[in-house]
Amino acid sequence: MIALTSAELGKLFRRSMVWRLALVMGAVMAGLAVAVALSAPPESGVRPSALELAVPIGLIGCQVLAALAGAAMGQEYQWRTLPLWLARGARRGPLLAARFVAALPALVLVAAVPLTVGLAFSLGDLEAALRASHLTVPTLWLAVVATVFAALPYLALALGLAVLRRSAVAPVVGVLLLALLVEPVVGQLAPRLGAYLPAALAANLVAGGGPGRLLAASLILVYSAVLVAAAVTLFRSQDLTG
Amino acid sequence: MPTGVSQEPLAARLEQGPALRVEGLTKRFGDILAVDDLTLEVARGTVYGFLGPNGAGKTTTIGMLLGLVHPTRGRAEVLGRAVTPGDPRALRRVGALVGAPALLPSFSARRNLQLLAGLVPDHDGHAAVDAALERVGLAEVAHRRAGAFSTGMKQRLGLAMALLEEPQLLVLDEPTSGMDAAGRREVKNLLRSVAARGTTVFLSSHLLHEVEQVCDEVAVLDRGRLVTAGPVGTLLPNATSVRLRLDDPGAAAGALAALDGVERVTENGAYLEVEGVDPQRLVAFLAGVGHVPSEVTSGRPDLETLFLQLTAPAGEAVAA
Repeated sequence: MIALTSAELGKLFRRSMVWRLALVMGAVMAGLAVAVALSAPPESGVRPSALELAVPIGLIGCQVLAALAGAAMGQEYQWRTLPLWLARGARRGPLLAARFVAALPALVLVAAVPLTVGLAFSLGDLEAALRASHLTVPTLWLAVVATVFAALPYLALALGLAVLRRSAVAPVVGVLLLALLVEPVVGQLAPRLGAYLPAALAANLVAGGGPGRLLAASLILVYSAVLVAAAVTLFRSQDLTG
Repeated sequence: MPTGVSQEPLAARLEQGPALRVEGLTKRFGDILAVDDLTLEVARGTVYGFLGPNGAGKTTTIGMLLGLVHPTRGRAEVLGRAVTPGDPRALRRVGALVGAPALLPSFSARRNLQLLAGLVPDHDGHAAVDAALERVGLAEVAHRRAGAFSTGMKQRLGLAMALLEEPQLLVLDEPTSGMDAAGRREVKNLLRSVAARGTTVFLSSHLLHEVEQVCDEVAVLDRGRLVTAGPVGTLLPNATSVRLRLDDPGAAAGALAALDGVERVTENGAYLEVEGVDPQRLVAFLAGVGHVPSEVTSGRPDLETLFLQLTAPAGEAVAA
């Protein structure tokens, strides 16, 4: 499992996609912070905090990364590197688990960059523009952990769809559909149900409110565990012919 | 000429049991019976050819041997251990190249091998990677992106992956696919050298001439069923046809009545076609009775002829 995770980490971080995504998320956060600083104060007089800006950006970045991690898994069905590794004696369950675990540091990076940019803005002269009272280094790390934790169901879903469809497209489409269509629509049409979907749970986990942080964390864990278990079960039963 | 016999004493190899044993192996995909009750055994140190037309079930069988495909029934045993999908123990000393080589195109050839070597704990990855690259002639270009390789180079890289850390059993499915003649010859030589060091080679290929040259034994699969299996020499029909050009073929034909073993003599203009006796003996006999041939051609049914005969659809004639 350690060898597999190490190999998967090597594969993931040697790809430029993770670094590029982190840079993009940092740039988006910087652009947003500058836009907020240059715009007129809202009627309430209270500007958004760095945390309020950076966490959603970090979560979006993590959702994109989850989709890309699933796409990479689907791609390896086509490259046939999965059968190669299995024929070398890798176990299926640990191989999938290693992919899941190896994605976590990448999620941390993608979540941390916008928050760090937000912190930098908060500490600088733009403090007046971004409400900085909630963003300190410990708060930042708590927010990173919460963001990454909130992204776990998306990662599990992406890997599950990659296994189910043996495709690079399915995880991207699946995660984007969930995040951009299903969750917003359900949130609008059935808010009580929507509150229990991953995005709303993530918001609760980071900002508090809704069903409560403990329940939100528990449900996120349940979603992730169920999806990973389903993916592993499916992966174990698959025939991987040429 | 098969040359894959290991230098290891036969008795020692037999004591270790076969490198590969398959008993009643069956795989059904829905209504399609891909492999039907396959039973075969491959002795350690041999080069074993696994033949069959497209769709015969070769790749499915190899998939079951490598734990990639779940058998519907039966069992496969590799190096004395039962192969079970999800249980890697049987495959630790097995190298495989199945179909087109599997590689990560954005990584260098060396990195692809390093990742694979990293899967094996307590293993000197760097030395093994260098040795594998050297053996397949890719050491000079190991830093280049694998995705930019030609088909033949990718195939070599796939072979390097299969040869990583000296496997005891090498399973190869069309290993020379996409290679030019020189590359195919190199692979042939490589397989011989691998087999000479005691590695068992299980080779699936449609290049029957190469299989005949390299393999000690073959099995022929057709529509999922084993049609025949055994040493190449015993599977090929013994009947030898010899075509001779003679000054007086009629007289020579009459003289051949005195030669034992002649099954058939056919006169064809200036030529005689003789079946059932080897060319050397035939020419020596004819020269002894004053009929020295000016031209001799010998034809022996090859593996391709045998393969076509065994796998031709029922009722279809095969041109030898």
